[in-house]
Amino acid sequence: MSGEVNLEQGMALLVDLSRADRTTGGLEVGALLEAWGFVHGGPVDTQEPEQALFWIHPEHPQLHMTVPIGGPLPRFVVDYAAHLIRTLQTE
Amino acid sequence: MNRVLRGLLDSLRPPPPYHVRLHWPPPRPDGVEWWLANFEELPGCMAQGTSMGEAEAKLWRILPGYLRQLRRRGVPLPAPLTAPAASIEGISVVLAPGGVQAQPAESGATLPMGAVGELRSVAARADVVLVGS
Repeated sequence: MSGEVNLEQGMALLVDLSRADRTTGGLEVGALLEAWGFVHGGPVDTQEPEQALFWIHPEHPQLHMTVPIGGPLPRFVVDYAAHLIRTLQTE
Repeated sequence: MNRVLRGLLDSLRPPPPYHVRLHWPPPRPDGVEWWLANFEELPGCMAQGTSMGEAEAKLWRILPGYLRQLRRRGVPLPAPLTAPAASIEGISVVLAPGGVQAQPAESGATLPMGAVGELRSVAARADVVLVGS
């Protein structure tokens, strides 16, 4: 996924994922990051390996984040994913 | 140094005294509070929970794994801030070197708790900075 239109679509999806009435969204954010070339770096939570997924861009390793899984997606998570994707577009 | 030994040494290091940012949960239709915590120095390192204490505890739990991932890829680790940064969005919260739970000023300043009033009270007792309102 790339290009101006798809970037807009991605941003719109991210906004939708942070709606207050949603109960999930982490997996969708992970899929969106993957579409922009981010890779799942491995578990970071030893007790609950599937509760916080780590994503990093292999060509721009300064771009990384965890995505909490389980429960609604706080707006900050969505905003940070959008920040990473926008940064990637300008790299 | 092999990876296993390096991982063992990493696990023995004390975590950096990063500043914790706790995000007040927005109102939800089901009434359940979901707190988010992240590090000011590592904004992408975040965890959530149904209480402030749970979110912060999870955050400290994932920090070693997060730092390990960065070291593995040669990403320089940020140094702990010497002073809290300004609020980014005006919606957050508490910034405490080492976290609220890690350095309470007194035994009563423990978590979890949810109400914003309680948050202010604990922040005052724990001598941490409250950003936003």
